Amino acid sequence: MSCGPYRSALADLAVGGVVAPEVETHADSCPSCGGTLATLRARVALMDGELRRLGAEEPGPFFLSRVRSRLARERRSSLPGMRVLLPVLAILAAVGFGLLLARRQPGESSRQAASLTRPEPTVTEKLAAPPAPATTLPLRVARAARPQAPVQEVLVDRAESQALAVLAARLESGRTKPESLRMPDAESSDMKEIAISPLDVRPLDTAPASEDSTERSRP
Amino acid sequence: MDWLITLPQDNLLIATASADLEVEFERGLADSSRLAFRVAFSVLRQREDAEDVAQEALSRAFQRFRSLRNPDRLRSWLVRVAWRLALDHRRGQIRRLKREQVAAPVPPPDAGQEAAALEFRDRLWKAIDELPEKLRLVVLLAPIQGHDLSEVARLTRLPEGTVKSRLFLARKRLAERLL
Repeated sequence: MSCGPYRSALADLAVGGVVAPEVETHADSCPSCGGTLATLRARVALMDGELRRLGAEEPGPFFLSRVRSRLARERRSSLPGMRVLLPVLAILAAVGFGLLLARRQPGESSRQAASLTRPEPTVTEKLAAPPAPATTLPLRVARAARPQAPVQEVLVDRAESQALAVLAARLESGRTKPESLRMPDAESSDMKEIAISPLDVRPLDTAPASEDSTERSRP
Repeated sequence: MDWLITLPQDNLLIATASADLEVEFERGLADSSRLAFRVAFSVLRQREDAEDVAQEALSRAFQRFRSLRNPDRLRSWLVRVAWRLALDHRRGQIRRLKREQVAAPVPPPDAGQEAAALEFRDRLWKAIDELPEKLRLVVLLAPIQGHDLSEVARLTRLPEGTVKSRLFLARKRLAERLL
């Protein structure tokens, strides 16, 4: 008898499947197929035992407590209050840090205050003084803090003061003669004042039609 | 005009509901964590890795617990997440093993019954790993905590008949591979 048609059904039989009765009869009568079926059943039994052992495996003794602590940690971090509180705390910390930094530099701030209250030097003082180091104070702050004195003085920016210092040095060394300097005055200027008469513009809706036509014809 | 101030009450209700949920989750935690661990262990076969994966799955389940309050839904969701995470972890493991096998020499097998058992186990796991995923899930889920077909069907959200046929097919393929 040929075993071919029954071979594939032996695995079905081994795992408890329902097969045709002649398969079981053949497996009982054929030593080769019977041996294969026995081997298959033994392997399936081993497999089931291994899977059962695997399925009954218990986690470690500290597993549950580790899970609990992790969940508690996540619960704390996901509290709605913390979502609001954390940014507020961060802002407060930043402000506090800024204040701390400001307190730690009293010398610098007092220097700044002194420079604000110091009267602006006159042009002559500026000319006599060496070129001033670069200041970080903006011009408008210096102007605002300047005392209201009725002295005639000119506030110049840094580039101008440097130019004046160079000029003073040249005058002092004699490389530039004072008489060669020429100040511009209104009389020597070529510019002449011209008078512009105000425009005579009338409202359009009140103007007569005849005038309109003359207006249009005017070149 | 009467003003109905609902915000504090709402907050209170949310807080109470949240506390109730936590108590409910905590009540089922021991069972859920064991289930997640076993699902992960059936794929990974390594305790530490399985515990890590189970923890991750439980953490995700806790975050989703509000929408998964039905215990059945939670369990099946947990199984799916643990399964998926474990498979991802397993893939990484296999990649690492392949790299290490190239570098390290293979140790000679021990003689005797223990070596035969080890060899059989290796063949079994190789055969299980080669099963299609839908067959692998039922064949690994069925022996966990002695699940019967209806329990596996509930966990996988599949009809019981489908689970039965998949389980039969998976066992038959494994038997053929182990011959």
